[in-house]
Amino acid sequence: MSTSAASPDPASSHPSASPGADPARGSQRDAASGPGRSAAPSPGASRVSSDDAAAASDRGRSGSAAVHVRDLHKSYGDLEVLRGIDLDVAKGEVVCLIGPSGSGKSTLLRCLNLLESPQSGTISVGGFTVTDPDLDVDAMRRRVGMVFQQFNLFPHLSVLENCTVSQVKVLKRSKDEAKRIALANLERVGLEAKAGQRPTQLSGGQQQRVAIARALSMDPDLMLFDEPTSALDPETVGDVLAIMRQLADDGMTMLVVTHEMSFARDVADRVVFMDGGVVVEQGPAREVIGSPQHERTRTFLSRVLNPTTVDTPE
Amino acid sequence: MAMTTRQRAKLSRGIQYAVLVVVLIALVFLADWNVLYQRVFNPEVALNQFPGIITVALKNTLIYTVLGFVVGLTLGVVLALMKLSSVAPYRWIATLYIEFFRGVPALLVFLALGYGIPLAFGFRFNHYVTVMIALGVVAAAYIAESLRAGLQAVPPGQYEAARSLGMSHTRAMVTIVIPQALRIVLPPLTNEVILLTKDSSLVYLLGMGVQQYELTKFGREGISDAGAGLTPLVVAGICYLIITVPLGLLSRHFETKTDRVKKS
Ligand SMILES: Nc1ncnc2c1ncn2[C@@H]1O[C@H](COP(=O)(O)OP(=O)(O)O)[C@@H](O)[C@H]1O
Ligand SMILES: [Mg+2]
Repeated sequence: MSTSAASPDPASSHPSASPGADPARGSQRDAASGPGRSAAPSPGASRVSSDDAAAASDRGRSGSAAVHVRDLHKSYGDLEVLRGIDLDVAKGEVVCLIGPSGSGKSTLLRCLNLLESPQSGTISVGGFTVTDPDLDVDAMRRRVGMVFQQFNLFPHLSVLENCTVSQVKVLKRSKDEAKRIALANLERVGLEAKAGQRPTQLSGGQQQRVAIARALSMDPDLMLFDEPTSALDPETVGDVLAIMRQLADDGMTMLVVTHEMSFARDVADRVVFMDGGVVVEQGPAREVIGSPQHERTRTFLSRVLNPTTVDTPE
Repeated sequence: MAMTTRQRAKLSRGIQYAVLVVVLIALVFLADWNVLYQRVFNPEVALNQFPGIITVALKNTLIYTVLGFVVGLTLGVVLALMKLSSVAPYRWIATLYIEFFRGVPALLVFLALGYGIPLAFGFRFNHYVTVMIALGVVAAAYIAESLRAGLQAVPPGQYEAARSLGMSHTRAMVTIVIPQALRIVLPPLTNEVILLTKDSSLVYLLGMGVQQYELTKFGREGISDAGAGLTPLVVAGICYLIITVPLGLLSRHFETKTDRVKKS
């Protein structure tokens, strides 16, 4: 398969949607959301495609869709993990995906950039029809950053090289430009001083911040986070969440699987609660977390919010 | 009378030393050192091995080893990728090949090639080509297994992270997975070179001219000289050790290095 950076998507110049431009969903974001989108603006930072426009008008709103999922099904053998998921994320929106372990959150996220291929349903991500068999998968993935629970930094490369390797090999940027962009993003996560070190020399929280900088160095339109703080020591969780909050304020479109309810409440525009492979409930963050409508949501939230008082020891 | 753990350990160690001393004393007094000196390590005979043992025998052993390794590594990479392929017949062929050549003595492979090819086709390959094939096909089976294990030891998250950054399958393998797998397989690959060095002694089965002698054949020719005793073989053995011991140390060095990476 070609590794050429020639992507089929025409690159337009400026970020179009202003952060949090999604009043229809009752955005809770501060009006004072950050001005700049990226520390290192580059060509291709954002696109407006006809699919976006169509999806937006389809829902009768001005914002355009970053993620649009309809009736998504995914099984492993006999086990049906996703059982008809509908999900929308507008450009600039921050959505937190919550739900008990095994409910299919990771699987949903991994279907969005085709790390798993779904059995049926439609997915479009930033103008790419992910479920189209003719999709240029690599071109789509260049627009979508992913942050894993286990960081997955490349241990044989330095922190800086982690952030430059795909810029050089995939986007065909010059080494100098890639380095400049990587350093800007490492500065953004407060780790430019660690550029020359190996990932294994860093703490878990630092590694996760490098993973965020690595994803940002590709100038993604959308960032997917799969429990980014679940593998971290408690004292380093705050640093990572602070970076993510800053990213949200800068207008990044984010879909975050998390158990950090205070993050979800304060940062997310919308919270989606999943259980048993379906979306049970969704809405503005404060409403879903503050006054959940469904029994399953209430049970889950009370467990997560008061783990010691409610949970019976297993 | 009860002994403490420490007393018991001390006693046990004392007994082990005593056994060692008794064996050494027995060796010193029972062996006929004069005969051994004359027959097994006679400095005069040893000196007579030079320079041929270096300029011909050691050189050829090294050449055969390198030839075998090049073929073994190339074929081994192909077999390892076949074994990990999503196409089932490729996996079957690779498994069959690997199980066959790991399960059959190398000696048999050499005999088959040495006598079989001329019988079957009525002609001989060039000597070095036959050596390459004979050493390479056996080494490939072992190398393929090491490579497969190495590739599978790289966590799948590495490949997924690379693909998530927009890398193609090939790019992710070449830039992210294979470099990490190589580090893991460096110790077993070094061990494979040691095995190849020793297996190159089987080349005599293919038949060869004087200029193609390797260490073992050279040593065997040496002991057929009247009065040479075993000394030529001992010198050949030392030459093998000069190659294999540093390789063994290198392999151990790689091992501790990868251990350190894993622990940190
Ligand atoms: N590769 C796989 N093969 C088989 N079953 C899987 C695989 N990945 C996930 N599952 C199963 O799918 C279900 C949902 O998993 P996951 O999406 O990881 O849930 P969550 O992220 O919400 O905890 C679980 O029951 C899990 O065991
Ligand atoms: Mg998960």
